[in-house]
Amino acid sequence: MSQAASRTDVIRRLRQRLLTAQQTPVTGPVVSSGLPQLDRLLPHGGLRPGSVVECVSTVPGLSAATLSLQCIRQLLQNPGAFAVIDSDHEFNSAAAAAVGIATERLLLIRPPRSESLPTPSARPRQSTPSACPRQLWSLEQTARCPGVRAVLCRLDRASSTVLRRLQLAVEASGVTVFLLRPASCLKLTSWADLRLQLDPEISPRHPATCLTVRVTHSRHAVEHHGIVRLKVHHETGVVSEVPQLADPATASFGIR
Amino acid sequence: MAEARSMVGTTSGRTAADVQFHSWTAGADRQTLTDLAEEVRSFAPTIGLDELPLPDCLLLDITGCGPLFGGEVALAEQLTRRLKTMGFHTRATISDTVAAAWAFAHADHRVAIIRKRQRQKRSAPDRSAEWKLPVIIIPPGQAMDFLTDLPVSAGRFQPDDIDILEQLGISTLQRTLQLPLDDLPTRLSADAVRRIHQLLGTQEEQILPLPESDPVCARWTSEYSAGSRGAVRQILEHLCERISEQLIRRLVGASSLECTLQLDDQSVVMLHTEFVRPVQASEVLLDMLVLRMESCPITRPVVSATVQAGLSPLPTARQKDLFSSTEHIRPQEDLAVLLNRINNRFGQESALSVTLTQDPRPEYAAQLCPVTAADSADTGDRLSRLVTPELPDDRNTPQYHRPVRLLAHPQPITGLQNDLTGGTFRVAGHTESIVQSTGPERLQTAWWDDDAVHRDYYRVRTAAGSGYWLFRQLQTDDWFLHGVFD
Repeated sequence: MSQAASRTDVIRRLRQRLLTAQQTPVTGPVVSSGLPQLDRLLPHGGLRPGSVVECVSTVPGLSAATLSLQCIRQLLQNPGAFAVIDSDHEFNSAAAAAVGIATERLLLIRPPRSESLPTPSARPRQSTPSACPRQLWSLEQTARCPGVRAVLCRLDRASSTVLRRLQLAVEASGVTVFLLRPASCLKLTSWADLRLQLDPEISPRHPATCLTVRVTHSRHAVEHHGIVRLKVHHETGVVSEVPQLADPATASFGIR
Repeated sequence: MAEARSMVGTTSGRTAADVQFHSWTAGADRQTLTDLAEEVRSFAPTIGLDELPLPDCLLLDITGCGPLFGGEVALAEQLTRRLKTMGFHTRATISDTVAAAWAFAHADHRVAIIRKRQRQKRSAPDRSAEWKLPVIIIPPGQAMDFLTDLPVSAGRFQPDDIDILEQLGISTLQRTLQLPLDDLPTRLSADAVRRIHQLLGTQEEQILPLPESDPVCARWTSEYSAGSRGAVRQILEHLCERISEQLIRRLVGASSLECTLQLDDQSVVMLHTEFVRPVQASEVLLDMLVLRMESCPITRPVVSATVQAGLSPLPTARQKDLFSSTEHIRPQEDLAVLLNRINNRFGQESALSVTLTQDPRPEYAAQLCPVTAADSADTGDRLSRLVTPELPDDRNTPQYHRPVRLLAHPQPITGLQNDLTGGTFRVAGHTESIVQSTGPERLQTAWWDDDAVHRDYYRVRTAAGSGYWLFRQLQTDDWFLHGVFD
């Protein structure tokens, strides 16, 4: 075996051992996301309880939160509350109800706004200051609570210490935390168990908006590849899979 | 005392050295009963003493308390067991009225046995009962059936009245209660007449509640003040441990804590915490006080500290699952701990439950209210609904897609025409180009609403792929951004 091949083999084995050391035991049954194609993309074939899932939109308004809500709806088949850390006071509970989440399961946590932080505007591309300490404290406390099944939080910036604490909290409690993060986080190291990147796919011919989802980071997989194409129905907002089209040759069989 | 000592050798065959003698005082009995009342406060909201000059029993109003303990039988058994651990042999009777319960508690079982034998001879239906039992429960409405067998002494009559009744040949309550009520005042005292009416149930008898003794409280004071937060925390930790000991001893929980810190400049800092569920653990009490302290500036050294707890009975968990006794309550308990921490740090308005309304205005489509309500029963219901998987209620489910992010105040945008596709709009100085739009969805309130709203909403998709929720105000034709389809 050549030296290059042996080095490659050593690196591959070391990487495998590193990932094995990082793996944590699954704390409960894996839950389907509700989208079979997305499940095939995920390391365990679904959502793992006691994990942190980052949803990074390269552009705002890409239905990342809607996709998260649909996944959370599956998790809520088990007992536990659904907590939303809403430090901006902008979470629309009707959107969760439209996805199929019972509002009785919704716990809205709104830490008081810090007077030093500016009022958030609707200009999504502008960089926002780091997360409020109250928001981070609320997020960590909620992630530590075994009575909560899932948490949704918009988190722009957070230090590695905070994210590591969050990771340890969910491993102990079994809570699944969904973090909505901006595109600027793609350049940063991820402490999450899973990072999903959402990109838009504009097609004027399609009535619905398509987006692609890819796994850019996972603590439980060696290689990250594969893309899932999803579509967002413009009226209902339901995120569903793009059906695989048949071979055009067979479609033209009937056209004479 | 001397007479008692002299009687020991002549009657029982024992010497005085074999017997312990204690001088008796009426006040001591009353004090003992009052102390016992403190120990059993967790069993009934109202506890009092009977009205006799020498009370020898406690009266507990357990109306509605049975289900909290798994039934009246379980309540009585737990009560007697509790008193037995304190060295008291008790008999607990439960009946509809105070008079009936007192009578059954003081009934002599020998009389009942004699009656039973007499009835057996006469072949009469046997309605006597074994009275010498630690727990006697008379079914509702059947007290009169059993009262008739009891002697006159069970009626709480004065000795003079008992003598009169014996002279009349009346030795049982049955014959006493059969006396014509109109003639009673001429033969018996007013007190006896009152007792008869109480036995019959025609006169209500209230239990005078014994006031609670010293509240659950702990205090620290020292000539050396505590200057640092760490020192204050240690003081609070010690006080919370003492509070916790008192709570555990009384079998109650703390529903609130009031902490008063006196500073060296005579100013006072008050810390108030409330708990979703009654708490006993000192760690939880301290944790909540420390959370409160973080939001209160203590700029001066502390010279004294007082912590007082508001009491609440501890709820009894009832098993609902076949295989687990705690599975159904564990998520609620964990959620209660989380709510304790959030409420005590940020206030009750920070943890909210959601109810959808029929209001067409999107900003009022959801009604938010604190999870922890004033009524603890409502809080328990909300906690239960938060953790229980149920089918979603479709009654108020919006028909159309709604943005996850709804701006608190709609932001005005300029540059839009009615034909949205291909149009551009500026949001806070940034230009977005619309490639797709759906709508309008007209949302308007009734004409009689003071805050009338008439809006046409559009869901737009921009060239960058962003989704926004815009609306045009019908009265002014102005355009606003209201939400982002995040």
